Amino acid sequence: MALIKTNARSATALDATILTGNLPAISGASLTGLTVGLTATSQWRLTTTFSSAALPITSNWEQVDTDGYANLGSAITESSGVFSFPATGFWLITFCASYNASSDNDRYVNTLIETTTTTSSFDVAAKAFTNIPQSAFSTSTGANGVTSFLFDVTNVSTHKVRFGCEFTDSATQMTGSSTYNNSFITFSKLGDT
Amino acid sequence: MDIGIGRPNHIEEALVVMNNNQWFTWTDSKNKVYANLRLTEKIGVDGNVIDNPVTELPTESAVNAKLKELQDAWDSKNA
Repeated sequence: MALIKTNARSATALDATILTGNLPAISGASLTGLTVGLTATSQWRLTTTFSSAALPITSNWEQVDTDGYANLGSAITESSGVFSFPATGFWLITFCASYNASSDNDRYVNTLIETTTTTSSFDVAAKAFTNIPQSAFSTSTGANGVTSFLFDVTNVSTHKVRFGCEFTDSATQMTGSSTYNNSFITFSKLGDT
Repeated sequence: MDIGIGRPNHIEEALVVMNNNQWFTWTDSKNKVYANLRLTEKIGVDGNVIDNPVTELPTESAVNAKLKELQDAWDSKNA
């Protein structure tokens, strides 16, 4: 049945409650006022486990490349642990770190995101505190530290990010893998700056 | 094996406890064998990037010996 529109006051004040029948197809080219959704997202991960604190984590990062992974949009780039953005915009950065502790010492770990807007120095932008629990059945137990930061990248040349961890016990490990996401970062561009 | 979950069975588990921080890397992270083991140039300490204080790779026999030490300790604890 064709669309029947009755008693419409104007084309700009269309009352949906008085519409009956089938809506006509609308050409996407006719739509205005829409904003583009997520345009870029990608993941990186730590490939290799290490012990003791590392701030920043300078090596052993790789872009995820297994199990059907693909970037949406342009890729983030990394050099010596410093990550650069392919485009300006509001970027949500989430760092999920996996830890393993096997001693009876303090098991506090901090998971950090550090940013710079000048490239001259980095400041702590986000820090998660985690206490790795002990088990009655094993001295070796794990935990995750997760933190995120919304970074308004207005200049891709000056706005950078890096990651790190702090431990109270040097025997604690941040664990990584090159075959699955163990400690990893997700970058998502939410919109234009 | 996932590190810390079960009996150690990979040289990476030995390397991790031989020195602190990110002192080693792999030329191919999908093929973590001794031949692909390398020292990193830099490590991060307290917000600074410094030269890797480890300047020499351990020998393959030393790495294997450390792995066996970890395995023996695990076996002893889980006998």
